[in-house]
Amino acid sequence: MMVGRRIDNMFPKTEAPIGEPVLETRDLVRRPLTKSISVTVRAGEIVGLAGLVGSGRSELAQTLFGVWPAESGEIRLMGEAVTIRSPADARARGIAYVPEDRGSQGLVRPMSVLHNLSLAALTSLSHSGFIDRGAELRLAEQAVGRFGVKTRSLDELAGRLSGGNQQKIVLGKWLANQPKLLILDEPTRGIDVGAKAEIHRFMGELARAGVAILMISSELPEVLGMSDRVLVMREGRVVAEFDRAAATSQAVGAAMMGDLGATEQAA
Amino acid sequence: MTAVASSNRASRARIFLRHETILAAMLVVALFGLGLFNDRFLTIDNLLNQGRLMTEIGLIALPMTFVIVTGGIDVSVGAIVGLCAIVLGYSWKNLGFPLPLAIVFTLVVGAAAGLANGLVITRIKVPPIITTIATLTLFRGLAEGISQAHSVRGYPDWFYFLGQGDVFGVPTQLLVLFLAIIVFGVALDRTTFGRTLYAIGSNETAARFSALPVERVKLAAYTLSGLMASLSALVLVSRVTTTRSDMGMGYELDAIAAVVLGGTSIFGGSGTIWGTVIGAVMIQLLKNGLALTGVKGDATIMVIGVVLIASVLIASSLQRRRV
Amino acid sequence: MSTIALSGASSARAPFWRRLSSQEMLLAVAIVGLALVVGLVNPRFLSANNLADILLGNAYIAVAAIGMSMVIITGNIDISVGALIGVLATVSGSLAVAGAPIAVTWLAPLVFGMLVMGLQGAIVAYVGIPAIVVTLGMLSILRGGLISVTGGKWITDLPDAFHLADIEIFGFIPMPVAIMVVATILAAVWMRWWPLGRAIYATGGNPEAARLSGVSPRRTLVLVFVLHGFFAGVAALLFATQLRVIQSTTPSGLEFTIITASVVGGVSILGGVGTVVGSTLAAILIAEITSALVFINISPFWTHALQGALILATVIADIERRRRRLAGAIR
Repeated sequence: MMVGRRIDNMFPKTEAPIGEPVLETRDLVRRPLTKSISVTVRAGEIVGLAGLVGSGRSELAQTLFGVWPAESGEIRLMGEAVTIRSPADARARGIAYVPEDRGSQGLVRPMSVLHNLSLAALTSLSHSGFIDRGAELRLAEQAVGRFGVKTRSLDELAGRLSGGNQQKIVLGKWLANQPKLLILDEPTRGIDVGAKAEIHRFMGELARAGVAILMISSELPEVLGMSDRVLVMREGRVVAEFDRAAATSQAVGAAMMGDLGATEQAA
Repeated sequence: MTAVASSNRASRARIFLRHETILAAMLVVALFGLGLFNDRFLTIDNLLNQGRLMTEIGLIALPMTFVIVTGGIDVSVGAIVGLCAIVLGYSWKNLGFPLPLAIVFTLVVGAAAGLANGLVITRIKVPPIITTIATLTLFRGLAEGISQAHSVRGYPDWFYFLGQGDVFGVPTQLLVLFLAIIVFGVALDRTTFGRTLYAIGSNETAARFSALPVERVKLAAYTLSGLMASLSALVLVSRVTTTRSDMGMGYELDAIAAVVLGGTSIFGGSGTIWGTVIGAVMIQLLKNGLALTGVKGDATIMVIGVVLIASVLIASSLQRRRV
Repeated sequence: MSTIALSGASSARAPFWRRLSSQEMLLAVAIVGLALVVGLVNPRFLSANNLADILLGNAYIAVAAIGMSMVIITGNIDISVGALIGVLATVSGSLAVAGAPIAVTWLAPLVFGMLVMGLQGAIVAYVGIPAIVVTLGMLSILRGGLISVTGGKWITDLPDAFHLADIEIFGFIPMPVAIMVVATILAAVWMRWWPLGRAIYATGGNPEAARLSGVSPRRTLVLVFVLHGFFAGVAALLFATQLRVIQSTTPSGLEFTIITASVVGGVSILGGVGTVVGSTLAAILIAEITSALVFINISPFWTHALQGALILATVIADIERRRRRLAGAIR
């Protein structure tokens, strides 16, 4: 398909060796929007999570991250059964979550770039509660360098930066913890093309470094272009799974629409 | 990278120039102004005595800064002072506790009162304003109910060391306040706890999504508020040698005014302990200055009310201009 | 957020009797039940004199609670009203002693009350400063100002005609009770059927939705504070004219008693829900409880503790109820 070829050009997907499962869930339930979810994400693998708004993708991500702890079911990380009751639990287990809403969930806009970058890593940056300010500064400088955040100074308020730079900060703040599982919720929504390409490049780098990535996106080309595997959610369940080769926009789109799509096709 | 670091320092200095320096300059002007008007004012004796009087509010204003930085408020502190004063007197005189035990018990009750506020706020999610208005009534009511309008006097002499004694000429409670200022100042500025307070006040959701222990930190802030109110009660009882159930009435006003005057945003997310200290000093100077010019205590309350509203109005108009 | 607004709107659309059936019915049952229980312990509690005292002495609290309820429904709070009632009573009494026409002495507290509250409402609505801070400041301005002006002296030698509370309509309905009942009914009807009255709920339940539907939340808020000032003025008048003297202080914690009446009456502190019928019934219940304490030999010094516990319990129940309703709505 022509569409497929264009996507390949826009999304320079790099091949990464796929390893052992990092995340496995079995019959994960958190009402009202997470109903018996079983998924697996392996080291080095990018799994795309497609679905309509309200299909329960973000809710699944936030259940994995401990914002809405699971009511029943099993979560295994690196083969070990774990309970995740809070974001702090999730972080301690090596899970990072870049939330959907940058302004209200990802970033503390009235705080400086420096303080935002260290926010999720404070425990490892402090000795018996006291923040090591030298280490904090080093961490922030590294992150700014690595992700090419454009800011006048580390003391600039994070809310003043462009959308793309804000997203790089959210990403940077989580990568400081060297996560094993990175959950990205609409990672490139509302940012410019250049920053978007950079973020896709980072995703590739991370995958090659062995990080398991679960990416939620409402942009079908992004899902198809970046993912090794595509899962489709509808009404709180995973209803379809496609390998990279089988994941065409028509097939994934039809799975997203479900019965609705079927009736339209029938008519 | 060194360029980044030095520009950090420069902009940090500019922020410093904005709030605390302006306040401090106002403070110096006020000091000399009052000194010119009244030659009794600028004496070591008077200033030390003012420090003594300032301590009770100061001890409450420190944790109040934490609470307001998180975007909350605690109007029950004055009532906790009253309750703790009564608990001290009652447990010593009526329950027959030895005074040291009664003191510890009082501190525990104060912390428990603050913890109760914190639990209702974090677990049941009742807004802080409503929670502390309700507990204000409850704690003051408990003080009235337990005391039955009886006051307790006649504490042993050693107890008065806290409120009336001095160490090398410095009032004892002022040293306690100094110590508390340093502890609270360092906690807010240098620890993960302090950083979490700011993050909660700036964006509670993002703080939670950053895996910060939001609930625990809020709980700690309100508990500290109760604990410091009980310490303030001990200082107060020791200074005035008696306990009554109406003690600490209106302290919440002075403490909140000190915090807001000190540059802490009433909406949370910003503020410093040093600002609060200057705010508390200014309010004490205001009271002293008014008293020296013959203004009665009740008119002073009125002036502090004006100061509170005016400083919030000015702060919010400045903020608007900056954005 | 939208669910909360919806529940407020749908309860406003339900038939009047069904709206009355929940909190108001519970309060009415509590009022009667408590009277019977205390009456069994001590029959003197049920004497006509005592029951009349309860109503007459506390009608002004119920009247003030009407305005407070409106303020709380918009999601705000006012802790200056107790001090304001004291100031307004003194203003009215001073005018009366100075020989002002009776009509002026009765109108002055209303006008002055509307001005003070309107100012506070404007600061809250247009500058965006939390009501707790504005009213805390105003509380100390009013209280400090009152005592330093009067020096704590009581006002005596009030002219007979001044005593509004002494008037009995048709020779048997005491004025305070009449005002309490009429004010409650008028306010309840206004808030239920007038668009402007309904706007109060919209402002509290979902300011953004209110704005989109053409209601200005800011102007509504100022209006609510002005009305609150009006009711505070009426309350001050009843307070000032019920005794032969006017004290320069109001009962301690008066503002909290008024807030308790509103909250216990079913006004939700999260804004958007509640009725003034409930707050009036709650004011009566609180007065009854306070009086009952004396009759069953419990020290009146426990009154405030009981009030505090009552308000805390009601607020917690309100939040829990909303949470359950919200969870139910999602499922």
